[in-house]
Amino acid sequence: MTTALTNLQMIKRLVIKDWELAKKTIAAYMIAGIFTVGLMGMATTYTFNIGAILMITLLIVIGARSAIELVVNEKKDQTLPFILSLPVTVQDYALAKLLSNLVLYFVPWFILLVSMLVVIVSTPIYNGVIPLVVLVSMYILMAYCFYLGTALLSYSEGYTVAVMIVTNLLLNGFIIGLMWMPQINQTMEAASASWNPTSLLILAALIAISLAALLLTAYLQKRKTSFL
Amino acid sequence: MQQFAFEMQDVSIRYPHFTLDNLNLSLPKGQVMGLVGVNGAGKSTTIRILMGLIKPDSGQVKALGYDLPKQQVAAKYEIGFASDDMRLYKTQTLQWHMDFIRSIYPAFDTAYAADLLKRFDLLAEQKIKGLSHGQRVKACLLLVLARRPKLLVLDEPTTGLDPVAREEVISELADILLDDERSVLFSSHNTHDIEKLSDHIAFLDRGKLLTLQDKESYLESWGRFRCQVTMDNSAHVAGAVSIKRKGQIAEVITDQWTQDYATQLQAAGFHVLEQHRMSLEEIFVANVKRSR
Repeated sequence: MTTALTNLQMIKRLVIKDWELAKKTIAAYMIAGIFTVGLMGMATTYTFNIGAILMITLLIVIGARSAIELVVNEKKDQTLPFILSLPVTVQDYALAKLLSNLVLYFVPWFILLVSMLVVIVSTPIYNGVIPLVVLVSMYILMAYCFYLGTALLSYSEGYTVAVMIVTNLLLNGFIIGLMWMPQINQTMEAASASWNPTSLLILAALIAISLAALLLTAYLQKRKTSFL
Repeated sequence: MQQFAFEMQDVSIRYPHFTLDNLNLSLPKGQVMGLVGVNGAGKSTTIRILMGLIKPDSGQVKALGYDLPKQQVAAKYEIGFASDDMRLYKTQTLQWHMDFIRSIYPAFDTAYAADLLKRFDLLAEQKIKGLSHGQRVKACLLLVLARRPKLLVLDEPTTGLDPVAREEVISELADILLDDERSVLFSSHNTHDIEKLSDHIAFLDRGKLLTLQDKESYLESWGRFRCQVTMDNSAHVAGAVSIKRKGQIAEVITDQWTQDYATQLQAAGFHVLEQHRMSLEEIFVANVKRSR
């Protein structure tokens, strides 16, 4: 009964449970995403910029909803004792939460990112904006990893929202910083995407920080001794 | 050799403002234990340690032969747990929860679940957010009972219920417990519930186990005597837990009641006017006062 296979089945069952709980909301967000991508695809400067702002907002909202509804609210709504009464360890539960949140966020995030790139490539929009779009999207994913980790470790709405606010405030600084960089700025109106060492380094750093945040979350979760 | 549903040996855990101190608690298989204590006595901590949700600083915990928290996954297939702070997903129906539990527990008894639905007067298709607190408690119990656990652990399941709902839950629970040979640990600060359901009584206070005894002999060992005494009589009586004097009248409480105890009191200068058996609640209060 205690084999890894059994636990994998339970982890899978908990991930499916989260999908069942979240699927209607995700579907609504995806419809909003299609609308936003359509707006960007109209390929005027005005609609592209409005679409980009809406897309950033949408990516942040999807992540925030995922961390709050699927993690923090599990404690707040007192469904956590129900789940922990099932044949899982807290580590199984945390892993299931990590996986379900990553899947339920990463898949919409990836679909929306790819949709944006398809729109950029297939319309007269300068392809030079691709590195900026990818880096900003990656920053939003990294910020999500931060507040997902905070939610999983603290189950506190206050702490999680605080991390959301800080990372989202820093997003403005991050975008402004990118725009000031000549290596990014000077290639934005190019006909093709220019992945230079600077943009690649920033991308690698964002990916590394995201992974480090997730690994740190898993490590700290394993050290916890009290769970309710 | 006696088989235990669970055994806790020398279990201790220390928090900044609470210490569970060297707890030794065990329940023979097939028995019902009532864990009694005031709020903050350590009942929930004890139960959470038993469910593997809190790792004690020291001591050993076994449930149904499994070491906890190490083998909690295997143990939880055979342990049903419900607590007063347990809620179901409010946007989902009870049927969704039953399907969810059935997908996890191979032993989930669908026919029994249907029977419990009727007995608890619940609707499977109703969303949880539309249920009253009493119905939510019953829904949680249904989900736990229908998986036919060998050990049932209930942490204050009747807390917050109105008297009618509490009586319904306790009555149904008593019927269900008669039908099965389950071991049950049932915590409450409501001694009436404990008295009605339990075979064994465990009293906890401030993280310490005051008493662990079978209910019948425990209730029989306590008695209260109303006596007349002379003003200068300050004699101590063996076996008296407390002696309260008001003028010439004294109330003596003992935890060593026998047929001869009244004679002992007479010999000590206490003229017995009345003697009463005590309810579990009265015993609980006297026991806690003695320990403090």
